[in-house]
Amino acid sequence: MRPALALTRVQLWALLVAMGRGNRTRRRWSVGALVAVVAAVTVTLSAVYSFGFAAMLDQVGAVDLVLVVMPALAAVGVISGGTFGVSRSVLGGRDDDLLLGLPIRPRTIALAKMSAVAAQNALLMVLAVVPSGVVYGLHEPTHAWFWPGLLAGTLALALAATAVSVVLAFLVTLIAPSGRGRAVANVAILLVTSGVVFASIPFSQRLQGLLADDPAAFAHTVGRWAWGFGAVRDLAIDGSGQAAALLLALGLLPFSAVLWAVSAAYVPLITRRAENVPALGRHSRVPLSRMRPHSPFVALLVREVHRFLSSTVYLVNNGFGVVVLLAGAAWLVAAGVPEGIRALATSPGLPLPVLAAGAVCLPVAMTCTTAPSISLEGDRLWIVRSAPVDPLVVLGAKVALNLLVVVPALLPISVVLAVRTDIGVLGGVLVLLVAAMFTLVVAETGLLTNLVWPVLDAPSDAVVVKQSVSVLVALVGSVACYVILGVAGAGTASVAGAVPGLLAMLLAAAVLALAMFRILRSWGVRAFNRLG
Amino acid sequence: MLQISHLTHRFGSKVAVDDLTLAVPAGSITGFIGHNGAGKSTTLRSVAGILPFTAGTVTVEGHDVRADPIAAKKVMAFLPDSPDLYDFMTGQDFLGFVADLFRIPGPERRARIARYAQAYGLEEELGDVIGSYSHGMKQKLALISAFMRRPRLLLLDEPFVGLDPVAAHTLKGHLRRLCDDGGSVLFSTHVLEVAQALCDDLAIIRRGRLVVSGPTAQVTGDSSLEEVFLELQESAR
Repeated sequence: MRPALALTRVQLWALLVAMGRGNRTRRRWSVGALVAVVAAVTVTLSAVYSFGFAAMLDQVGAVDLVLVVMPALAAVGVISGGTFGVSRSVLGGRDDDLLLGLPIRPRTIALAKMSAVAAQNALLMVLAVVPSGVVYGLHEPTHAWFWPGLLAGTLALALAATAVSVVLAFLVTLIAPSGRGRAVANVAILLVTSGVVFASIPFSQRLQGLLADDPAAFAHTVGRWAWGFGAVRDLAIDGSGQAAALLLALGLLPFSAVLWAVSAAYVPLITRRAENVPALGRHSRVPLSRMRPHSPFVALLVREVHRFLSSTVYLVNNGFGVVVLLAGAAWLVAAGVPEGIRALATSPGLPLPVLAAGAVCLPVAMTCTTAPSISLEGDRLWIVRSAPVDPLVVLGAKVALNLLVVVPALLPISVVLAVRTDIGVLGGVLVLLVAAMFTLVVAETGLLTNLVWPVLDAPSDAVVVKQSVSVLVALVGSVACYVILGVAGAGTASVAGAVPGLLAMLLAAAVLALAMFRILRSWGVRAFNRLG
Repeated sequence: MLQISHLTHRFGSKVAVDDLTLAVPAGSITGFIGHNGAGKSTTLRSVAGILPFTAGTVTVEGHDVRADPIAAKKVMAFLPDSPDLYDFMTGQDFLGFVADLFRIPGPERRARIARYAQAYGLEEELGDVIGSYSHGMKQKLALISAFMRRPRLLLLDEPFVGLDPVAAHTLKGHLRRLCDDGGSVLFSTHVLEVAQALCDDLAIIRRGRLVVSGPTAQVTGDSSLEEVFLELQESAR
C-alpha cells in the first residue's frame, strides 16, 4: 500500500507542478496561483450556471435537478478536457523506464497514475458541484447527510469519469500511429472530435430551449436520461442507500475494470508507445536526391507544421477554431444568416458587416498555436539556439504557423459572407482583412505570453498545450484584444456606418499587432536569448 | 580558434563557472574534464551561445559570441550530452532541417549526409522517424548533423555516451581529421582513458574554476590522467 500511496503522491504532484515555473519555491507558488485561478474560474462558472438553472427549475418545483445537471456537466468537462492529458500521463510518461525498473508491480504503477488523475478530476468536479449544492440549499432545506452525500457522489462520478478518460485515451493512442500516418490520423481525430461537439449543439440547444420555455418538460427529460447522475441527487437529498450503492458501483466498477485492463497490458502498452516503430521489418528509404534546400525561415516553418500535425493534443486543441470557421461557412451556405443575428444587426453600432467580423474573429481568438510553441521546444531548444539564425526568424516562423493554420480557413467564410449576405464584396474583403490581422494579434499575444511563461521541462505536450499558464493568459489576452476590436468597430459604426466600423477594427488590430511586434523585436528576442 | 576570457556564470547565488580562462588553438583536440556539476556543460553551452553568461568574453575565430552570435555560430557546432532531437521528424528530415539552418547547398549536403551516414552506419534508418531511434542512433544522427556542417570549432558534451565501439572509433577518426584540417574540438568526457589517448590538450575544471590546463603530456606527466584527476580532487578537499 505504501508504494502505491507514495507513487500516487508523486504522480499527482507531477501533474500539478508541470504547470508552474521557476525554481522549487517559485514553482510551488506559481502552481498554487494557477490552481487558485482555475478553482476561482470553475466555481464562478458553476455558480452562474447553477443559479440560472435553479431559477428556472424552481418555477416547476424541480430545483433538485440542479444537483443532476451540474454533476453531469462537470463529468463531461473533465472527460473532454482531460483525455489527451491522460494519454500521456497514464498510458506513457517520461518516468516509465524508471518506474518499470523498480520492484513494483505494473498494477501498482497503473493504480498510482490513474489515482492521481482521479484525484485531479475529483478536485475539479467538487469545485464544479459545490456551488450547485449551495444554490439548492438556498431554495430547499437540507439534512445533515446532504453535503457528505453530495461530495461522496461527486467523488464516485470522478472515478467513473477517469475510467472513461482512460478508455478514450487508449483509443486515441491506438488509432494515432507513429511515423508518416500520424498527421492524417490526427486530422481525423480532430474532425471526429469536432463532429461530436457539433452534434451535441442541437441537443443542448433543445435542452436550453426546454429549460426556458417549458421547465417541466426539461425536468422530465433530464430525469429520464440522466439516471446515473440522479443518484447524486438521491444520495444528497434523501440519503438513499440504493443511490449510494449505485454510485459506488458506477464509480468503482468501471474504474476497477479499466485499472485491471491497463495493469494487465501496461508493459506492452508502454513498450508499444516507447518504441514507436514503423511496420516491422520495413525501412522506408527516401532518396537523398529528393532533398531540396530551403531558407532557414521556410525550414523553421516546415518544422512548426510537422510538429503541429504530429501532436494530437496540439492539433485538436488549436484546430477546433479552424473547423468552426469552415463549418460556419458551410452553415451560411445552407441556412443563411440566422434570424437572431439579423435582428441584432438592426441595433445601432452593430451593422451586419461588423457583427460578421466579430463572429469570424471569435474562433480566431480560440486558435493560438504560438501560446505553447516555445514550451514545446522543450529539451530540443538547443538545436535552434545553437544555429546561426536570428531569433526573430525563429519567432517569426511560429507566428507564421498560426497564420498558415487560420488564414486559409478565413477565405471560404469571407467569400460566403460576400456572396450570401448583404455585406457585399467590399464587406467580405474587409472582414477577411480584419480577421487576418486579428490572427496576427492572437499569434503575437501567444508568443509574448509563452516568452514570459515558458515551460521547457513539461512531461508531455498535453500539459503544455492544455494546462500551462501561457495558454490560459494568451486566451484571456486574445479575448481582451477581441473586445478592443469590438468596441472600436461598434463605436465607429454607430456614428459612421458599417465600412468605417470595419476599417476601425482593422486599424485597431493593426495598431495592436505593430505594438506587439515592437515588443517582440526588442524584449522578445532578449527573452528568447535568455532561455537556456 | 577559441578564446575564453574570464568567463563567469551565476545561477542566482550559485557560481557555476568562475573566472574561467581557456584557449583552444587551431588543430587541437582539447579534453574538458571535471566532476559532476563542475561547470563543464555550462561552459560549453556558454561558448555555443546558448546560455547567456554573467561576465567575460568568448571569441570563436575572432567573432565575439555575445556581440556577433550569428557569425560565431556559423563556424561552430555544438552537441549537448544525450541530445534530444525532434521525434516527429525522420532522420533525413532532421539533417535537411539543420542543413537549411546552416545554408548548406543541395549537392554538398547530399554528399556529406551520404558520407557520414555510411560512416556511422545509419543509412538504412534515415527514413525512419527519430522517435523510433535508440539512444545511440540519436547520438549518431546528432554527430552527423554536426560534422555535416564542416565546423571550425566542434563543442561536444559527453559525445561517446551511447556509441557502440565502431561508432566511437569512427568518431575519434573524424575528430582527428577535423583538427588536421585546421579545426578545433573541445569536448567533455568522463572517460579519462579516451581523453588521455585522444586529446592534444586537457583542461580540468573543479567547482567552476579551471585548476589545470595544458598539453596532455604536461598535465599527466608520468601518471595516468585518472591518477592526476583523483589527486586533484583529493587535494582540494
